[in-house]
Amino acid sequence: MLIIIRNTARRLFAGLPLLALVPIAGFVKAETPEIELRIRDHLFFPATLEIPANQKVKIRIYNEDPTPEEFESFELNREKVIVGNGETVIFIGPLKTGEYPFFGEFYPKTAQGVVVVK
Amino acid sequence: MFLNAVVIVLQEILEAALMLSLLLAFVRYFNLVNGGAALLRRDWVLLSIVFGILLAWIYSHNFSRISDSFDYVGLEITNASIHTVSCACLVSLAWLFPVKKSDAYSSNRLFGLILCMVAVVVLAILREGSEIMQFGGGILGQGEAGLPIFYGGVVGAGIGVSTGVLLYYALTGLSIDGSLKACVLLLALTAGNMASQAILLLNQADWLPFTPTAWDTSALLGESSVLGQLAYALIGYEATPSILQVVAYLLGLIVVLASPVSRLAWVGWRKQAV
Repeated sequence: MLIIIRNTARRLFAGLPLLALVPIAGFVKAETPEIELRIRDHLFFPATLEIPANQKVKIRIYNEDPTPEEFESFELNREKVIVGNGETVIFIGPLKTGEYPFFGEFYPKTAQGVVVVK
Repeated sequence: MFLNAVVIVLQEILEAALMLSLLLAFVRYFNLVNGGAALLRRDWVLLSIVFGILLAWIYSHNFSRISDSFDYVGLEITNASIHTVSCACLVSLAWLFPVKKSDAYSSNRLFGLILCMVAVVVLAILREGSEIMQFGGGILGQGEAGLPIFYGGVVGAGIGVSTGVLLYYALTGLSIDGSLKACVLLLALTAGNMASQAILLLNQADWLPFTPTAWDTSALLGESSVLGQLAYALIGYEATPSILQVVAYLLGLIVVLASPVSRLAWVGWRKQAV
């Protein structure tokens, strides 16, 4: 238990210098790759999004249904409502390799997808 | 759709209900300690709820416009602002809470306290209510079988409010000192939660830089589990918070724990300061 606490504390402090990067980030904003995700008939197209590891990605979501939907993912820590016939943007990553499921909270039975990080 | 509506409305109502219960427990503590000589009123509660619902309705009606603003991250920016102001109000509440008898009669201080509480409740309802309206309005407007959704919403709201009532009685059922300790601790955790949520939203909007995940407790307590959801609503539990989120959470926590009311709860200033 003590080791876990110590390691966590170490990681926390290691991250503190990153705070100094906040103002710099505004200047050196590299081009973020963009991918498209569509919602139609309460389904995601494509249902599998492949993105590279350790890279921030901009997901542009088009909701082609007349009903609103909420993009939600516990694994990605993301949650956002998209109005019916609307468009929105969500930034994710940089992520480690692995699978990160997401779903539409308003129609969770059908609206299911996964981000695969390679 | 019934169960789905239960879950969605419950999630949203729960946060606002728990917040209100915590504030009411503070009011009760104040009134008990001062023996009715100085009274914190409760008549702001109903007004805040009505005002919150009205603001949520306005938000909901301008949802598309807000969502499209700031290059499609308007929702994140608006909600991060709401969380930041909520956090500031919770912190102010801790610092304004009278610990000396003489302060308990200061009408300026009491007015400030009530103002903070009103703001916290209004903003919680604005935040959560607008999402419920999006869900309900969007689906009902399409003429789908609306009744199960409506009943689901009523059940969800019922469970949410009941949980809030339960928290209130849990907080006020303790001894008077224990009650203050629990209230201050929850207030600190809630302030931390608000700060951390604001950071998360700004990250999602790419307005703040990425920081690595501080830890991963998803194997211990999953965010999607019932307990995980309750912990999320109550203290902002997240299985994989980023380092920046943890820093913000700790800052919110510490600023509340450094307040006079926190010292009163643990050191017992009251005894010497009458």
